[in-house]
Amino acid sequence: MLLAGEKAVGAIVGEVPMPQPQVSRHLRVLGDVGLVQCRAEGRRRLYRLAPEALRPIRDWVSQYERAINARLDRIEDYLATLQREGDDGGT
Amino acid sequence: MAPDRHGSAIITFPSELEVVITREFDAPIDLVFDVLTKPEHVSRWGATPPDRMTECSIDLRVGGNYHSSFVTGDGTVFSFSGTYLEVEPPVRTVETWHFNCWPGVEAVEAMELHERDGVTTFTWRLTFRDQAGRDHMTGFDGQQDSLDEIEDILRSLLEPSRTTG
Repeated sequence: MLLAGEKAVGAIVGEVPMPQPQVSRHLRVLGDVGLVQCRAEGRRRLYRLAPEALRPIRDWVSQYERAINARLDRIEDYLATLQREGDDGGT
Repeated sequence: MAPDRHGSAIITFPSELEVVITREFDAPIDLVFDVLTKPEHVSRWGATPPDRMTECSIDLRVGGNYHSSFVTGDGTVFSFSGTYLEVEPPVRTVETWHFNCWPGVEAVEAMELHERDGVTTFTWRLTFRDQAGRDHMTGFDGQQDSLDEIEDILRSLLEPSRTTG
């Protein structure tokens, strides 16, 4: 949900069927483990994902993504070749 | 001309036992199914150079086995094998999944296809018997406990109905 950017608690509450106290509690836990950061803007507290905390996950995911995509890219290219060749494979 | 969808796979971890990958192909479902399940096709795309595919057998029926072997540039051999549990051309296959490098790991692989407006969506779901198995896939070993905790919280925010709050 926070992937789309910084949000106020009110906006988050609007997107999940959960009462505000519970959302706030979740955000506090996420803040404690460093996954979410909070700043004040006027009266509002804005929450955002902390990309640093997610880096180990993201590094691994990007490595895995590359490997998976390499495989799927070959399927895509092969499908394109088959279809260019007039395709006797299934259409 | 079909759009270039290179690199567009979406990888998600919907539970601690699963990895799900989705990707679209600009081809009819029958052709995609054949390319994914016929040895003469799989042998054309199966290996990532400089790896080579040295064996590809697919007995596409419930109870039938598949086996694919590869050799890497430095001569290391690795293979995938399993038995088909469900076969529903051209939309779905479910099969057990064994990777020889992870001998203790058991998983079930489900491949599903869905065609819409000439674009076929491929969903590849691996469900591991236990979390230790899935952790091989995610490389999350060592920091798993804290990540599990985070994951639980994130999931509770996204899918509140599945949690105790």
